[in-house]
Amino acid sequence: MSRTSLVAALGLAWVPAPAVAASATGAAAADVISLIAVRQTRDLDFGVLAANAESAGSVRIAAGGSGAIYSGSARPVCASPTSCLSPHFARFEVSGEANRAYTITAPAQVSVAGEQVGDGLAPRFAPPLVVIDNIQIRSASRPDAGRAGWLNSSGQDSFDLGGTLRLPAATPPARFRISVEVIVTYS
Amino acid sequence: MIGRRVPVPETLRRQRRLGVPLLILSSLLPTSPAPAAVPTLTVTADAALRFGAFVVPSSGSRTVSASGAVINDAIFPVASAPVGPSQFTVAYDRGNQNPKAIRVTFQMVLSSVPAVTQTGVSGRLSAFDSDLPGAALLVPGRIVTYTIANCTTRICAKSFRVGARLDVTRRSGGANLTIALPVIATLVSVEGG
Repeated sequence: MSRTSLVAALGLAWVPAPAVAASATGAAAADVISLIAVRQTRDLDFGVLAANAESAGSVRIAAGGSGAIYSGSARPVCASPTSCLSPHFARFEVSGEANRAYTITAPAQVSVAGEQVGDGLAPRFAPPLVVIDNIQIRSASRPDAGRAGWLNSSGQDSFDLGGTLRLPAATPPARFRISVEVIVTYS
Repeated sequence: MIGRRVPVPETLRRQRRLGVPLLILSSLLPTSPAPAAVPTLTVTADAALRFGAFVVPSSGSRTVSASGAVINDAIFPVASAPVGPSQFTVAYDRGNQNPKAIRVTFQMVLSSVPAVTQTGVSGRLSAFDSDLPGAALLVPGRIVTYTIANCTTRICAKSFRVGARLDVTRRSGGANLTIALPVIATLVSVEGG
């Protein structure tokens, strides 16, 4: 009697048969992200400005700041001491996938035509086209991250946009405000 | 009771008689190394099919092929999410270290893959492909036969990658889609050894 058959006959070992089938379940995964959207809730408004005939000026509105900084001959013009338009930065609200980073793209500079103002402020004229540059962005979630933000657990965030308006010499009183076009993308 | 012979009970004598052949038997049993293990066939899912992260305004698709090539259609990829084909490994463990070359043939089938819908987003897989020789196009339910030839190691294994196209339709919101990829392998033959 061979060793194997003897062992088998005594039930001391089991001669195995190979497993003939096996299976495994892998997975395919995709993260389909909600659309991201941006909406301007207030525009970038420099108020009513004028500049001297001899020299130019500029007005700076900081993103998230208060008021404006006037340089050169640029100055605010008010119809009356109680009816001054308050200059302010633009504000945007962003909504999308919760807990996601996003990036803001904005132009380096934009041009805006002044709006004619009347009612005794100035004679009628063709408002000049002025440049706004030094565009600055500050998100509520990441104020120090420049053009980057983070959508909170509700998928919400906001950011402010400011800039510097270059006012040519001899600009008669006109209102300068603009809706800046921006693009937000997930990053 | 010192020096007195005590008769051995019959039951004990019977045990002693059996003890001799049991000792012989035990000497016949292999002592080292351990008995050969059971030959087995296993399938493991090594990596998931990763379509990454993307935005779909309404509907679109992303194809991740077995080679890793990516084709986007009407989607907007979002960086930082890994993308790549899935990988499976079919392994036959002969259960011993016998170095004789064997030829292992197995059949593999990708089971049907249902579409999934989650929170306003639905996804469906199609156009499966693989880098398994002879199975460039992988059709769910269709059997693919593969042979590992001249295998001289204890474990004879073959890994292969699987890619697919994911069609996504979005009605609202977003979703983390996960779709099962069941693979079944059947051992057909082991020759040689």
